[in-house]
Amino acid sequence: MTLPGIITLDGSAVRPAVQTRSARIGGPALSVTDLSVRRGSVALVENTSLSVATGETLCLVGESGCGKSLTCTAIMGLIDAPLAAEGSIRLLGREIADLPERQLNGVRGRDVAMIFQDPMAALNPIQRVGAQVAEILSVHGTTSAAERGREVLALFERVGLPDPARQARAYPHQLSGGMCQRVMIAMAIACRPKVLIADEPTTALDVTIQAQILRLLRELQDDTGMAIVFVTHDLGVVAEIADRVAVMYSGRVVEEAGVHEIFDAPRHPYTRALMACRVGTGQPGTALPAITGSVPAPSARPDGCIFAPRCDHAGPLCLVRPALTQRGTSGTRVACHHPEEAQ
Amino acid sequence: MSGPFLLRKFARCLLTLLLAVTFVFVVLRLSGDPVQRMLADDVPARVIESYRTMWGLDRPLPEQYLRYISRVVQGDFGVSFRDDRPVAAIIAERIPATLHLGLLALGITLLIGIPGGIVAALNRGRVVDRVVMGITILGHSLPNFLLGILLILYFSMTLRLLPSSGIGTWQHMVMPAITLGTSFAGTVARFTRSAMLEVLNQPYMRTARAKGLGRPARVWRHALPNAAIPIVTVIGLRLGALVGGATVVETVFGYPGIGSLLVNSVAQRDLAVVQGVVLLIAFTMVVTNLTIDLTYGWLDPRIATSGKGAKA
Repeated sequence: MTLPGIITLDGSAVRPAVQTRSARIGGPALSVTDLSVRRGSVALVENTSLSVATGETLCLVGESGCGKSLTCTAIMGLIDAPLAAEGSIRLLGREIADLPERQLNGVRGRDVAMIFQDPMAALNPIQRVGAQVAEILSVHGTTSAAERGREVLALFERVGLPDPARQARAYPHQLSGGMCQRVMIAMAIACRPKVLIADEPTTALDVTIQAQILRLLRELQDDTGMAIVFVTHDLGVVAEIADRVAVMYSGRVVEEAGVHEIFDAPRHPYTRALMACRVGTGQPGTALPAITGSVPAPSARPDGCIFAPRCDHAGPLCLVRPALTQRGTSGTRVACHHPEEAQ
Repeated sequence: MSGPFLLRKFARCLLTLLLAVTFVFVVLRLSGDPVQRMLADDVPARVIESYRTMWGLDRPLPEQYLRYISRVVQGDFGVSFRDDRPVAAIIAERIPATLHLGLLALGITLLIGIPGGIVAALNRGRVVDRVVMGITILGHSLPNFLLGILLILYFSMTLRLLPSSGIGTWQHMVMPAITLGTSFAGTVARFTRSAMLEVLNQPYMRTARAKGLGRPARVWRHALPNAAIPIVTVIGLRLGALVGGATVVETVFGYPGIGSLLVNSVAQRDLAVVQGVVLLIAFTMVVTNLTIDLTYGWLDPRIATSGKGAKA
């Protein structure tokens, strides 16, 4: 799925472009512990733990169907029957996983906001976009309509929509995908949330627009210090925006590390395989490497390590015993029996 | 609204009306000689002949047709075969009663149908949903007059609370309006439910939730407006039918509206009145349909009924 143009946003090979921004990274804004999402007895996301600090961007990467989006949806409390979520979600130290819907509505959109993959579909097609952004302000306390109007224009200006007054009166179908995503971002940052969940916000957009949106998110983060959880399957985007990366596979986090470590020294065989599959790393004229097989269905996960059936380095132990997460220094972790041997 | 768009719609409406009139004209004349049906068997042939000449029934069919059409265009709908009064006047005096009943019934339909459909959609698959859908099937499959007769039996015969027929006070309206109103509420509920179900799964409904909107606001501000088009369409069809379609209910309750006028005129072979009523019904249907078509552009800005809806 990697778009060839994304590999290089600045014309060079894929490398982490983000300089260390540790100076801006503060205390934990969001920490998720042992989050599981189940349908009946099948765990679609299992014991996932994540945390992201103020001013930090955590990228969630992995193949389609590995539970990235579901994890985000669960953080927002948007899981509905027949799915059920359990686990701890702490937002700025406050447990929100067990909040009743009414109180959760006070948190959603204000403390934690979300932007989606298909911005056009995520906007109400028959409401003017300005009104849709104004609505979130009114939900979270801006009572004066005139004030909301002014704020909407300021927000549109901030996210780089040209001629805000005119765009505010447009309907989503009159705007391009990139403009719709800017509207969504304006909506998301309207109440200055501490955490922004971005679920593949650039996947549906043109390459050039992708770069603009990523740059905008980085600028907004620098301004507001919000934490970002960014879901993508595009390693080019990861290199562009991540501070830390959590790699998900079949509903679990298999490796987490700083963006430089992930690109320079990936430890989990799956992460290495992902890196090897990047477009632009192979020799010209040779076939692109691919990971053979596919992600096991959540109902048919193997007994041992979940990646063992597709792993080139799987030994006898891997086939019988699940790989537990080993924590390393400075918050890195990997779930593999032989992370070193496989190097 | 652009000119050509309206013009095209308008021309199509006229054509529909013409077809309706033509069809009624032909069918009524194929169904036997009205004069013979209206007069007693022992009336002399001379008298029959004179009536035919008076109503123009002795002319060839094409000529009768053209004369009728040209008069209708001039606003002359002919005179009743029974009492020589102008058809327009006969119909006009019935319209207020029918509108009264029709709008009241429509109000009842909407008050039951739309909330019922919304509740069913929000509780999809649960007991509430099944109960509501069960009731709609019951309402749909029970004949219209049955509820009317049951109501008369209970409220008029047993409790002696409400008059069983006639017109004049609000008590006269209660049972006809309920009978007519509930007969269509089930259909509206079903359309509302399916339209809502489609909308509730849309990504923008998740966005609304992610904004922190409560459920009532999500339903009223985001879901229902997006589900409006099918609901408005089915209500519009009903609105057209209410003018002439209350025949059964009006007959059961002896309610002097357009519907009972139609039934009586057909029974009496009063061709001029039947043609007039059918034309009125066709006209109402066409006008409501046109109105609905025009509301689409207002309900959903993506439906371009105008030049200014183009890309900004």
